[in-house]
Amino acid sequence: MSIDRIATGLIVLFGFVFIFWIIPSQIEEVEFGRIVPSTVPMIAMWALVVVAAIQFFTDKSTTSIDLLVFIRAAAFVALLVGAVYLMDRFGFEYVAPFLALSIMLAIGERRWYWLFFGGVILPLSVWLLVEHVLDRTLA
Amino acid sequence: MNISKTFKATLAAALLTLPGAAFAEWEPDGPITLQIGFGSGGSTDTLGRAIAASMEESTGWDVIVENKPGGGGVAMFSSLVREDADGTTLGIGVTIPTLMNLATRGEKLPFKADSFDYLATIVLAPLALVAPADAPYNTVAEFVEHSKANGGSLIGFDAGPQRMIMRAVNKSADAGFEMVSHKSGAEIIQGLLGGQLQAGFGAGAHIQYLDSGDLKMLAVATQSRQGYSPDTPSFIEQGFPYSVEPYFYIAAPDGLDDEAKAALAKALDDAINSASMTELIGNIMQTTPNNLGPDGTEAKLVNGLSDISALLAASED
Amino acid sequence: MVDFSTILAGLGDAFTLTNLLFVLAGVIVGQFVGAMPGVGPVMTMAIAIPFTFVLNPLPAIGFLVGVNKGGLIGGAIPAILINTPGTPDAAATAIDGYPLTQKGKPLKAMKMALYSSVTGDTFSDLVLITIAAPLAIIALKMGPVEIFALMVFAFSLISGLIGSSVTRGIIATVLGLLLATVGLDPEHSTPRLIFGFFDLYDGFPIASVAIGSLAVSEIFLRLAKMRGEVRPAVNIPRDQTSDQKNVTFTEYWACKYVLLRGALIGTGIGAVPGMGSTAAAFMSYASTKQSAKDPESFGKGDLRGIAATESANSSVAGADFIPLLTLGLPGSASAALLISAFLIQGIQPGPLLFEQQGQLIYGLFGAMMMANLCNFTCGFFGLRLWAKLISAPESVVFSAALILCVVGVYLSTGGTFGVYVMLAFAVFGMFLNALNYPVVIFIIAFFLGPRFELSLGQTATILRGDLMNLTNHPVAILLFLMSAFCVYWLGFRDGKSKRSIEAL
Repeated sequence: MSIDRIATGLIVLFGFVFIFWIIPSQIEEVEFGRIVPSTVPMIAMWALVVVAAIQFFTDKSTTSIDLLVFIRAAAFVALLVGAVYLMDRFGFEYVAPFLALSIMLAIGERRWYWLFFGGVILPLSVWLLVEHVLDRTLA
Repeated sequence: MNISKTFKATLAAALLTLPGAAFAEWEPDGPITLQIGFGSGGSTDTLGRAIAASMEESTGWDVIVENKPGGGGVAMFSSLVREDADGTTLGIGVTIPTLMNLATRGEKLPFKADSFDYLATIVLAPLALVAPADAPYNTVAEFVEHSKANGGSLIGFDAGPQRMIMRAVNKSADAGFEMVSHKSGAEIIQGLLGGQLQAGFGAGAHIQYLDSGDLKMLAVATQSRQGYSPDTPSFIEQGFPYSVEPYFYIAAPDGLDDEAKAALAKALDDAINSASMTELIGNIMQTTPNNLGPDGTEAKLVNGLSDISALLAASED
Repeated sequence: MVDFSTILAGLGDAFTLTNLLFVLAGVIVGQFVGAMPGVGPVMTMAIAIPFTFVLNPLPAIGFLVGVNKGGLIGGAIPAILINTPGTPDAAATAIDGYPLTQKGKPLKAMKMALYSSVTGDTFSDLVLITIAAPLAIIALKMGPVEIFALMVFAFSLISGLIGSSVTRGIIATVLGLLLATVGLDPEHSTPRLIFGFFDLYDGFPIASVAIGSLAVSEIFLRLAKMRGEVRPAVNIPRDQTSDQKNVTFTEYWACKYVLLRGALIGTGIGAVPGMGSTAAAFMSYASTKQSAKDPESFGKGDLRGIAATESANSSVAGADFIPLLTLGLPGSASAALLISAFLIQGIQPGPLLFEQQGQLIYGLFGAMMMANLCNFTCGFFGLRLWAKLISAPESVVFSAALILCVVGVYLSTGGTFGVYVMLAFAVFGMFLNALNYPVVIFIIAFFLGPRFELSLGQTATILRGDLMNLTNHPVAILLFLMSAFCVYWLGFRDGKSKRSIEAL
């Protein structure tokens, strides 16, 4: 079975989970009015289930996923999530240079002057501009 | 260290040594953050930023404004309740959306009406029911008759309590009103001028259309009459015992010490009643500042909750 | 009616050196922040408004209008250069702009965007200045039922962009609609699908969704694919001939109908609040593509694609002033900020505005025309600078872009929560891309979703649940018929082109 078909199957499943479990538990019931809070989500999810089911049986496309790119992308996402968490705890000005440096090193930048410019000058000028010129706080 | 902050701190210190400096007893321990429960660009945002600027000017304190939009202030108050009660974090919201949430889903909220120390109200929104100037009805009772005769009239609203008032009227007078949801008072006015609505609620934006002769008032939704139109009776006077009073107000986490509370309340009162705020409130809401003070504000929140609950009960089938 | 001497006096007020400098400063700031992925004119205006407290009305509003207009041009720059539109408005610019960059012609693409943007903007400003009053009266007749029909029409037009797989397009649409329902519902104000997060009361922050799924997902993907030697972010061949760098007048003039259609769509959408510039940009792009003799050349670097998008999204900005000035009704986030700046300056939009403040309003119109001129001049010289900057190593460009997205979303959503949402949507965007679901369709559905649901509820109430009452709304019926025709026509053309491929 192709990745596409597995994904389509998961979308159908997702739709049913929404219709029978998430919408009833996460949307309040209202007895009056021409439309109720669940009207549009319900219509959207039934459309999703029907269309995805059709696609499940008719779609013949096969997507290939480059596993290495996928893993590297996941690593960058994880790096960002970690950096945002640390920024929240320790402050933007301490974390941003490390974030920029790790990204630059990870994609192979080795020239010290570019590393210095992109990893120190740029993040710190953003910080100076926002916190000290515009007087807004960054975490 | 921020140069301008240092400067302001020095300035504040200098002011303190002056004889008769107003806030000798209490000083905030660092900058004050004024959190706004709405996004940038709305009337709450505009009011909050102006108050912050006015406070900075008169006290020398550093006041930072932050927008924390979400659920008509609920998101902001949910996080405000967890802040330290040292007077450096304040929140600005509107009573009605907060009370509506407390009344309808209070058990799911992390705060209660008594979770805060209330400092001031800024202004009362002049909520009223208005209609196109050429409409063949001038009072709520006449409008009810008109609706009955024409298969149900359309009324524009932009907040839950407005709908509740008209549902309560529907229930007691069998008027058959149909309520059309809108995003803002300006959109309701658009619907009235465009002829899509037979009546709608205005919270200030309608006033200049009275002057231009496009709209007229049917009733005010506040408990007493409003200054710009002293001849318009309230819903209550017209025999429908319902009211909605949206006050813009400022609160801090519960547990401020008395000196801090008094100093903040005084600073806010000066800011709210300053000449620039009076002018701004005139521009935005077409009315005047109205600060009820700490006790008055608390009373509005506590009594307001039972009023809203009563209205809720009256509107339900 | 405003008399002629007031108009002249107003325009006279505008054309002073002080005002010119403030407008120019606004335009430069606007172009600059518009070009920063993640930052943009809306956030910049929000930050700038308190600083305008102390200015006189005309320079203050002139500066903000300059920022707004400069942002319209700046926004196209990252979309064209590194395929990371900071706003959905520019998403359609990237469809044809980025392929031109890949062919080594970023300057040509940016210049086309500049010319189209200024053309559309000037057109709608002229409409605003000359026929705002009658247009406002027509726009008043567009009630909720008509808006709902207009929305259905927009969706049917945009469906032409869905691409090869109809089912994937529909799935992307309903996912956009579903995610747009998170937060308070428009009819009863009950919180939906928030899973206990009070930050979600107003829904997913728009900035997080747009920047996450359009820009950050692209940056992640580019970073993941880079290894080995670090190259300049964009490679411009040194020995380019002039026609590879510039847009000739013949090329510009060949787009005259495309530009005019874009400007008309944008002006119309701007005059009727509720739809917004994203819808205008995509409606213009889709109709240009569908009416072209060679629709398959779009998406591969067609100048008409850029012209259609940029003329439409820029002309919304001028027409937005019609409901803004006559009703105090904002058609966009930047218009909402302008209203608050107006109020702070003691200018009350509404029925009495032209009577009481006519001179000031004509001063504002003068400032708008100045801003267009500044926009053109600054853009013309500034674009070379951007072309230089973007030849910095991709390591610097993309790490800086990522940091700017984080900072921009942090500031505009007021906290870390918005940044996490942005990252989540970046991941979501990467999955959509990898599995060939159209991200732009998802984004349009997400943007139009709240208004769609609101006008659905309004329409159901106004019709009192009875479709026969639609006979009182002939304009809406016309729009529904046009939608049906549109879907039929698109389907028919699709069928025809498929057959011709099979015949080959």
